[in-house]
Amino acid sequence: MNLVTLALRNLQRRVARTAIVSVSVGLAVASALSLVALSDSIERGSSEGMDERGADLVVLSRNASDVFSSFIPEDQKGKLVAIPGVEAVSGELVMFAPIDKDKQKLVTALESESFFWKRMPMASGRVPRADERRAVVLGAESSETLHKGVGDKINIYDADFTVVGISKYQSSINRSMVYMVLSDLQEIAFRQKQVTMFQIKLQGRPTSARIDAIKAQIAKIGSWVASPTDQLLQRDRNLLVMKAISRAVSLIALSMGALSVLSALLMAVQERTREIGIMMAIGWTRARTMASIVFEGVLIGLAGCLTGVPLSYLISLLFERIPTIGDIISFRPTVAMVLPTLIVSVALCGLGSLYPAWRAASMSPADALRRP
Amino acid sequence: MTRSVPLIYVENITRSYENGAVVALRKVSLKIYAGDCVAILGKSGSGKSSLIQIMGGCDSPTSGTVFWREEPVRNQQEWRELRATEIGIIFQEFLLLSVLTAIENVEMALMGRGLSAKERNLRAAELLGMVGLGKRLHHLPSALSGGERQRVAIARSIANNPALILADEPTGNLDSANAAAIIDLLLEIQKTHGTALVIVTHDESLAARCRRRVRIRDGLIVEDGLVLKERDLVENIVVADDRASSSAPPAVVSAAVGLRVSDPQQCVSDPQQ
Repeated sequence: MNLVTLALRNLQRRVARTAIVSVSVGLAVASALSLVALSDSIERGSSEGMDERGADLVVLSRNASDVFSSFIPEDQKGKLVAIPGVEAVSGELVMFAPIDKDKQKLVTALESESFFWKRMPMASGRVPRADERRAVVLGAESSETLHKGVGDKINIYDADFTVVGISKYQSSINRSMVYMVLSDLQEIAFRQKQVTMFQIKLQGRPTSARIDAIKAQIAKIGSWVASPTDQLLQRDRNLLVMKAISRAVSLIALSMGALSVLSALLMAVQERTREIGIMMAIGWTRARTMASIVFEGVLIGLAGCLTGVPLSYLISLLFERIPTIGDIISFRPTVAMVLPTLIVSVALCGLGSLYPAWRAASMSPADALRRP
Repeated sequence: MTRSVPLIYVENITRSYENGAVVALRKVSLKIYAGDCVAILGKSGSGKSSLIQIMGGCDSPTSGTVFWREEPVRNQQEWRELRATEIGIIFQEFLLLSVLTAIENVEMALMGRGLSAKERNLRAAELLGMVGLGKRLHHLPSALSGGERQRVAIARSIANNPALILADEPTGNLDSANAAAIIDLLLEIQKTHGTALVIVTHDESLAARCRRRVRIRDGLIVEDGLVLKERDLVENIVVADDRASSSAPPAVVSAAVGLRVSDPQQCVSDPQQ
């Protein structure tokens, strides 16, 4: 018999209450994990997407608060190509665009001669030919959600396109993308001669020192900022705001879970006043008496995590299938996210149980034993 | 430890409640020596339970001091340490943790004493065997009879080899047969271990089985003396000086506060003997 056994037995005596509090903690954990996964998936997904397509550096306008507000004149490409060590540069226009009137998809438009077209893995069909207009390649997920295959027609910004291929990229962002030729998107979105970013492929295997040197050279050319793909969204204001909101909401959700632990344990302490008196009467220290109650909070926290983690995976799967959500966002909690969330939620549940534990340990044994 | 040093000494203890509206104890002083067997008698509300709770540190006096082996006990931390090592407490309502089995209830008292889980388990099983519950180790309190629950409580109270056992109406919730068995057990423990035993009771026949009897009325000790069998009376009459009463047995050597006797095994195992 130890403190954990005692805490477990005490939780088992009120199975329904323990289950309800654990589920409420679980929901808080699931919400927190989903929010963290959501903001992380955008950042990680963008980075993975760039990596998968083989870019080493991404050049954005220095003054852009986020990717979508970056505008760079297309004709600046030559300055980047001239930098020693740069193998290829591809201008790219990226935006959310209305597809078939009511669906929003992320559309990436690439120069017809871009090295990305050559490297694009295809599940079926082909990439647009150099002189071909109004042709698109769908990511596998876009193909599924839009129910479109090779040869089907698709409407983007009130212009009709033909699906000429389905790519087989693995990253979620590339899977949910619609690819078209740059000039087409510039025309239909009224963004002539503009790109969102330049993607740069460097020669050989670039060392970090070489990458830094090239970044410095790019910064000298104009008000641009070059970032490795894994740092692409570090300065993205929208993402920073979203991350801050998701962390704040996560913390609020977890605090609500901790509050439910506090409330349940306060009730439990009230009910078990005499038993707490017994502990004191047989010489248990304040610390041990408190620990026996804090363990209950921690165990509820762990039970909540056991419920919450699978629940967050279920939520991510469910959301993918809801068209109004799944068409726009996709996220999946990772093991790396689970651990900090578990630590925070268990710690908060432990904190939530401190007050009831303190109240219990502060009673005089005589008072506690006098209670009915 | 010499008999001249009291194990516990409550000095001028007053305990009042509700801002002095109710006074449970009025400047009470009492010394208990190692190996003493003391019955504290009194009617309901006389202050006997308040006294035993203060002696166990479960309650604090409004004024006065409690000394343990001549050292004042200053705070709850010291009391907790005493209750964990030197003082065992038994309650009328048994007060076992309902979610723990008999053996786990006893193990509770052994936690924090530097024993491994296995050592605690073995010691608890040994103690329960000693109180006759060797075959009921893994029963929850709800599956035990009143007498068995009190035996578990007794095993728990002696788990750390205390020098003093405080029993607050230990037979109050038991039928006469179980009550007799529990008292036999407590007296046996007192005898074999030389533990000081203080029993709060309103049962005169039970009190008669203890060597010393302290009677409380309205918060005052009105009688403190030895309960002697006729034979003992002759042996102890010298010690008791001329304060002893010569009334028919069981006789009372009255008004001998903190009276010391030479025989450490003071309890009468069988009053009919």
